Amino acid sequence: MARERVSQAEEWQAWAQRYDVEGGLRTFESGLTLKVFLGAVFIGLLMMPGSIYLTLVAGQSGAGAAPWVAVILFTELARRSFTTARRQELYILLGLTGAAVGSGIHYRAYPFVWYAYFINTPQAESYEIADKIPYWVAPAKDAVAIAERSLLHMDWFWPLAIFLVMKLLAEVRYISASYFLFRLTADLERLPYPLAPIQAQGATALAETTGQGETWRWRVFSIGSMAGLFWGFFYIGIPSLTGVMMSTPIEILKIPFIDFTPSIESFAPSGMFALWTDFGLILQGFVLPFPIIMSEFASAMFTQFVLNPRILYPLEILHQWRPGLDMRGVKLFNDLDFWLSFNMGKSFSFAAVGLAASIPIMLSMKQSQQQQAGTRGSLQTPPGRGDFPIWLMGGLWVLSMIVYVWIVHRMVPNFPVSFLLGFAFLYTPLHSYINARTFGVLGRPLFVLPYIHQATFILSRYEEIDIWFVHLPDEDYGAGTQHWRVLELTGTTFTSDVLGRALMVPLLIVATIVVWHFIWKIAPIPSSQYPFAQTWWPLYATDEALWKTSLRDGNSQMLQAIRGDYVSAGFTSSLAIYGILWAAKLPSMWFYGIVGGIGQDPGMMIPRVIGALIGRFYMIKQFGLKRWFMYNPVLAAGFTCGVGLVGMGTVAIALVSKAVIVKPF
Amino acid sequence: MEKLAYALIFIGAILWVFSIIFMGARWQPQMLAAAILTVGIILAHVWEELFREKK
Repeated sequence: MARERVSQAEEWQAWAQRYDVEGGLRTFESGLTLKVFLGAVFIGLLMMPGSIYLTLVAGQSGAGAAPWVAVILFTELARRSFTTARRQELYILLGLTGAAVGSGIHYRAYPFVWYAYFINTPQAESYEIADKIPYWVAPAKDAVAIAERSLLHMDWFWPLAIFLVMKLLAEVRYISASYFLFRLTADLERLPYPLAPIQAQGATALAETTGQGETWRWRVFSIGSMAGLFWGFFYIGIPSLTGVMMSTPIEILKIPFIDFTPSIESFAPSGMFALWTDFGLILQGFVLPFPIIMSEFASAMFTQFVLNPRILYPLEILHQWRPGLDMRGVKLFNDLDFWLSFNMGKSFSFAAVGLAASIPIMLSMKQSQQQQAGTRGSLQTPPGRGDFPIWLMGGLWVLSMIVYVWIVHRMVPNFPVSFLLGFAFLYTPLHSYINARTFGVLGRPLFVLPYIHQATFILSRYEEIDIWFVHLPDEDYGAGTQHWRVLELTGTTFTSDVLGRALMVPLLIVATIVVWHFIWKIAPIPSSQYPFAQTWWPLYATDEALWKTSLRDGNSQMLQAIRGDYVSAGFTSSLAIYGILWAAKLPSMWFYGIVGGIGQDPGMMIPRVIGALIGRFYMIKQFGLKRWFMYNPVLAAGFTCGVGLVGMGTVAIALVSKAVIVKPF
Repeated sequence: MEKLAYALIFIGAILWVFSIIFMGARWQPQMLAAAILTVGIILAHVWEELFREKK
């Protein structure tokens, strides 16, 4: 009997409905109230100095769990005050606290102290960079502000002013572009966004604890949290705590993987297989679509056990491989020989396929005007969601991007403006659209175009070093689309989220600069007061000096690895796979799995495969399909919370231990 | 239109295999195959979205 064709429209619509555990029926409410905003400011600003400090001391900030701690604290306060917390409030609180605590923990995010250090390093001196660092990056190396370790000094006026303007413009671009792409991928195409329900259900479960009765969500969330606590203690806690006491930490399961690559080389030369031991990924296997996980795994197995050893290696395409290499060595050589180029090509196929699917939808827009919201092919919005006119968001992005390109052009006036425009209006939209689609289907980005900056600098024949200090207008808004989907699932109005961010971001920028100022005042960074920075910053400085001077002779080994015939092979073979699946009337989900898995290590997928098999063949039978799809995002949210709490606890203990001075007598 | 989409997809796929085996995997014939495949895939979606549902 001939297989009946299920159109992509029907397929995506079915998956989108499956991941919308409440059946698409919801009312939208504002999540931004005064108590939420003050709570986020209080907790965020309280924890932010600690997380920056911890990063410099121990290399871990604990910022991942902090928003959950804030939300749990908030719900407990609500319960003690005999009031309730709505899930909209809790989701906005999660977002704002996360932004506040995570602000500035990476030395690159607020790079003033880093450049104040870098400009005086022997590396910058020996590579002849120190005197070429532009005035809008850092003051001169003998400036008073650097000698006094002060960010609140007029010497920092230009770096701070440029940073502030760029940061605010970046926020406008991020909000407007991610919203625009969300409308295209979630509203128009109805891509399912499989990982969005995890965040949504976490906030919902915690909100229900403040209500009258206990619901299934709280029970499932608690089970997930306890599992997360046990696994987190086993996987993160034991190595971290024993690392404090012993010279070599005890790892019951080797972190992050057990490498079987040397063991398989006798029958699969140039293949790699490293079993990833983070079995927390099993929960991702519960959540992600079963066809994607299985086809991804099958295609990764095919790559490492057939394609690499039986075809590419004998043909000497993988010519750098030699016996005895571990997984990292095999990956590096195989990437340089073939997979780097091939993967670029296959990323482009996602854009081609996405555009091929979107163009007919656009053509049928006229007849879709009458279709109701929530139907594929319609840009109608659900009532009360707090949407913005799509032309306004598109226009805001264009405007802020033009201003951004103009500022960058003023900063590096001799760099060809055509390259800046190309990055801003060709590369960024393409990059973001591809990743928005892959987030919508796979829950992760797939588009990577390596060494694009270096390639640009070579092509432009620009030789000044200042271009390395500019943030070029190549951006990815793909990940941001998922955030809008979570807002939709939690019934939070978009306007309240945007307002919350608009209030929080300027506050955070100022607060983070002040916090960095005070931490720098305590002691020089790096110094013995900040052991992690003392160990790693000199290495980062070498790395930075090497990169910034790597193209002086117009050469780069990485750039030479990119070959047009292999890129074409990746692009065309992926399109052929898509076409053949369509002709065979097979689900298009398989395409994302097969192409996503080509060239990957199957060992890293095994925890997810275990989760998918347990879910499919045990859990669904036990609970039924609908109930299981309701349970698993809540379970995964609880698990994330549990693991995060253990991580935060162990970082705190590590910090206390580092604060203790051991006397040798 | 459905049959045309089928035909283009098969021609594109076979041309790609041919270019790999017999034409030294040069990028030019591969990209020609990619162009044919892309047109085929667009036609397939146009048929799905505009014609199949109407029928």
